[in-house]
Amino acid sequence: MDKKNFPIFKNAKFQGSISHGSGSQEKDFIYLDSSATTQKPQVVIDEIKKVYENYNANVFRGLYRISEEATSMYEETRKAVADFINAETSEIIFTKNTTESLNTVVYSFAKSILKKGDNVLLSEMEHHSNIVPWQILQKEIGFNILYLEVDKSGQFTNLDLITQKEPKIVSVVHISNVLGVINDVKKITKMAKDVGSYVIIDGAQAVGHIGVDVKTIDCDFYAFSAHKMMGPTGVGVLYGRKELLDKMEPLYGGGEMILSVSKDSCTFKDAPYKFEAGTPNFVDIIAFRKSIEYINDLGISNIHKYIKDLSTYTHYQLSTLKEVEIYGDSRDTGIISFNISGVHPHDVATFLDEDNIAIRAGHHCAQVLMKKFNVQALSRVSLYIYNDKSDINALVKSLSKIIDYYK
Amino acid sequence: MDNQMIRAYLMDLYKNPKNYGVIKDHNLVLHGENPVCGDNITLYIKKDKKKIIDISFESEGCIISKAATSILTDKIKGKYIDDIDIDFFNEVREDLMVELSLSRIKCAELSFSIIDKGKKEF
Repeated sequence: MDKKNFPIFKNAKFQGSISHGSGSQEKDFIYLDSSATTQKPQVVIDEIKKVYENYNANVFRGLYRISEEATSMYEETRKAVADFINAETSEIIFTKNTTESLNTVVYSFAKSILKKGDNVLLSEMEHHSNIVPWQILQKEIGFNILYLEVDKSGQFTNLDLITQKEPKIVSVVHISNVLGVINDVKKITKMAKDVGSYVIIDGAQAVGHIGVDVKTIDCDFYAFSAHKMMGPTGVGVLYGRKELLDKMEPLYGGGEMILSVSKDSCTFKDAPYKFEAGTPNFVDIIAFRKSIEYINDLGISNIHKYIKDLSTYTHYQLSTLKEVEIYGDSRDTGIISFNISGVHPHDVATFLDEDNIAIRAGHHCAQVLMKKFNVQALSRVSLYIYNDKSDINALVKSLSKIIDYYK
Repeated sequence: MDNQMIRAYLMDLYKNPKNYGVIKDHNLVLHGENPVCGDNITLYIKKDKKKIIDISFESEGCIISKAATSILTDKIKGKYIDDIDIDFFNEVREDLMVELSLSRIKCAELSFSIIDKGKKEF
């Protein structure tokens, strides 16, 4: 699908000279680390330049044409995001990334409702961004943090914890950034709502990869990032249910989030604006709309099917190498973590880099899961629409060379 | 040496590191981890006051971390702890004979930083 629309693949070719004695040759850039960040299509890159060259004026503040145009484009992205996940525009807050979105929920919402002794339910497959903020707040308030456990295949084994422990908050990941498993967040939300819990979903790996409808999921909050769906870096989104956002206090105070300020007090704008203090990253937010349009043009169900098929192919190809052990059974997304017996993941990544193949190696900001699986680190391949079978063939060829080398 | 030879040399250090295992009469154990990748190294040291009489190590980690620890332990054997400074690590880097990327310097650095932090134990 459309590799030619992503300029990095033209620009990041590598003059290989040290690879396994193959001599100097130009090597295509094979990018298999889209879970970390996706590459950007030309239309998104062009839009950033266009905004700086034509509409660079601070949003909401200027009483002149350019500023008003920038403001209206900024709000058009909010509308595009809202439509994309089936929310209202007043429920879409722009942040800088998923981490900031989750921290906003923790400090502006959870902090006001949690008391000592309450239960907060997370899962063992959470990214650190959905563990650490809770642990920081836990020190202040003294609530309990419980975990949904994960088996080898990547499934939760103790969902009944929800009914048993009646947590005040359930906060779980939609798609695991390590195992690639798609969690049944609709079912989890239903179970949680039945016992009166609030539900937060970390959708960093989901939006732009599978269809996401926050009304169907019925969660209270949903967090994700533009840069993992071909948008610019520095743009995150927090969806929050309107009636909750209205009750919440802002996390940051500052410019443009107030109605009035006196020496003694201030009043805030309505959501979402009270959560967007200071000059936002409006250029990138405006350009973000182009990535949503790009996804909509391709069709999210087509994207999901394409990645799923390529994932199945990747699983099969990797399984031909007997030294490769894959973690988790999911073939539904393009995230595949593995280890090669006897080879450290950092060495795998370094060797692959010599063939201009980019993968991630490490703990993937998921040390709780690493400890559960009793591994220090994993290698991870993650796919997106610009990948194809030739990328996987090159990966497998390069991995075979590494395995031979270690023999 | 060409790149192939350097790689073979590092691979040999990885597969057959010097000073690997636990020396029997050690009287100091130092341990450290790299939180980024989970590499961990345990150093077993036989010391006499400030002098490192003998040293060995056990580790879990990548080629660079094991090769660097092999080289470092060889270099500091018989030395006084107060004499072990950053120059020793710079020599280790030279002996590795590869240009280390920013993220891989941490792999090479782990054993040296364990020794450096452990100076107060002498």
